[in-house]
Amino acid sequence: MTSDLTKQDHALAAPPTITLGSGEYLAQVIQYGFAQEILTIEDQRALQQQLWLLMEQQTKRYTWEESSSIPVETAEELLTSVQTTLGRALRKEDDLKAAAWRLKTTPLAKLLTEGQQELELAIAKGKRLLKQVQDSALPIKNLSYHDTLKELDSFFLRYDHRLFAHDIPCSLDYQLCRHIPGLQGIEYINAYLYNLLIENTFCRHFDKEHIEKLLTAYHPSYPVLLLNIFEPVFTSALGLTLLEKEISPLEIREEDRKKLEIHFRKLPMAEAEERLAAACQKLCRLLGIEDQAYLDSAAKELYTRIKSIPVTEGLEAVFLAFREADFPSDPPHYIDNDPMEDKALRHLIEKIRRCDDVEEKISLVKGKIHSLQDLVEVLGACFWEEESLALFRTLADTEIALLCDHIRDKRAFQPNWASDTRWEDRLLSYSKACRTTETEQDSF
Amino acid sequence: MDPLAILNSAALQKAQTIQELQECNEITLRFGLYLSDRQINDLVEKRFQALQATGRIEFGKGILKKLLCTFADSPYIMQDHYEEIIWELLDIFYYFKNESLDLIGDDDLIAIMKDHFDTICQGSLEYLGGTTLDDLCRDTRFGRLVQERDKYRHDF
Repeated sequence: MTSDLTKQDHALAAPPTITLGSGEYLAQVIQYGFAQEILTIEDQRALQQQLWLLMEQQTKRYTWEESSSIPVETAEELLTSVQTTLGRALRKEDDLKAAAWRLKTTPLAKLLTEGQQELELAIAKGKRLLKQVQDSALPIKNLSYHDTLKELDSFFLRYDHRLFAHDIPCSLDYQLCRHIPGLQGIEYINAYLYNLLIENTFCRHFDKEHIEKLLTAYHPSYPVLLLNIFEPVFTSALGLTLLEKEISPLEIREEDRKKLEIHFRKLPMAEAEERLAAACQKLCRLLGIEDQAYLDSAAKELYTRIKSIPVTEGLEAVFLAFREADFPSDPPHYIDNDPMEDKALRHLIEKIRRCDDVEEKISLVKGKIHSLQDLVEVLGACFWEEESLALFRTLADTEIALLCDHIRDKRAFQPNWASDTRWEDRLLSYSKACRTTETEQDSF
Repeated sequence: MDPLAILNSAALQKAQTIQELQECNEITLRFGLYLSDRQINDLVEKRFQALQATGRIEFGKGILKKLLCTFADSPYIMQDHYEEIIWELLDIFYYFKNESLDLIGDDDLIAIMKDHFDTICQGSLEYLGGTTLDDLCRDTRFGRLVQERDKYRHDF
């Protein structure tokens, strides 16, 4: 997976400059306008009247001109969308003062149209960002990551910038390393995509196997957890850069962690932050990443996290150590085969009952029975006394274990359950006897 | 804080609606129905109350004029109870707009109300609200195709 992206791919679009939602920006402009006496009471009345007419238009669009009234909740959503769109149009001005004058002198309907055009440009940019994100998607197994990529795709099908410009009609489960506060609609999505692209680009410089080892060290069930893939990769890479070691293996050993502890705990804050910034710069240079701001921000967050860990605790939870998984990432599940049809099973049971020889019975079971459910039926109908023990001796350990589990599950609901042949009591005794024998053998 | 408060709509709408209802009198007078200025003012206030009670808001002209003009030729409406009936019809209208989840347009709903009021309901507003409209809205909510003209006597 190590960088097969060209330099062109690395060239990201300019980082987003919007950090305040457009609806809130409009409120800021209005507040500023009144405070600076650019806007007057007459302007307020005129704006309210125009806003009313805009809402009438929006309601007509929303209801296809079939209803003159709408629920208040819907009206609030339409109004928020109008405010977001107007704010978006005013962002084009140089500063709050220019924006306030624009609001005073421009009809709201014209501003709304301009705002919608700006949103359309933002949507086009978002689609380009999405393509870059999809092309750089990490081949790491994580459900929330891949589901979120699909949701981002469907956002552009569902987003209605004319009526619900502030809405985010998709579910983004995958959490980025850096939170995006205060934005709405396409502005939020574009910021999300941009940050995700940085994270993807960073992670693609490392081998898939190394990243997976790191994530396994975080938790063996990482494919189904809500985690951020970039964060542990960045943390390890940053740690190794501070130690001036090779970053591609992503492995931080015990002695490395001790050195990092000294770095983070003992150095004064200003010096530690300076070294972190230098390490981020070096990482960007090594990996050909142009936008350092995201890494700087992640490094600051990492430093804050480390400082909050008590001195008596080590940094094992931050700088993860590779280890073999202590337990499988997915617990084993048993999936039974389909049972036989009732008629066929009855026929087989009759046939087994007619056998004189237990070996013949066992042979029929081995040849015809392929599901646990059928085996239980046959045991309860055809295998008496020693016959069942003879059958048990031919079964594998897993088959014995599955039958024991079946008995326990059955008796959990029906404590007095017992079959006609009482094979279950013999099985439990047989299983216990086998375990005792194994223990005695192991002790030698 | 009510986000819609910034619109400060009441004064704007009131003036618009009063003018509309005064114009409406010219049509309804042909059927012997007329609203005085006091009644028009009360009706405008009633409209806001009905909207508030049902959690709705109306931009633009609203349905009062349509309601008055549609019901003007009803054989069950006389001048002496004209105002009360319009008040009730207003309540019923907004109530059933909510009950139908806004899936029935204004014109369709008013047309059904008028048709049933004049025929099956024989001028009874209780019957109109309690049976016909209730059934219609239930069918609409459950997604049953309302295409049988015989049932609601209306082509949607």
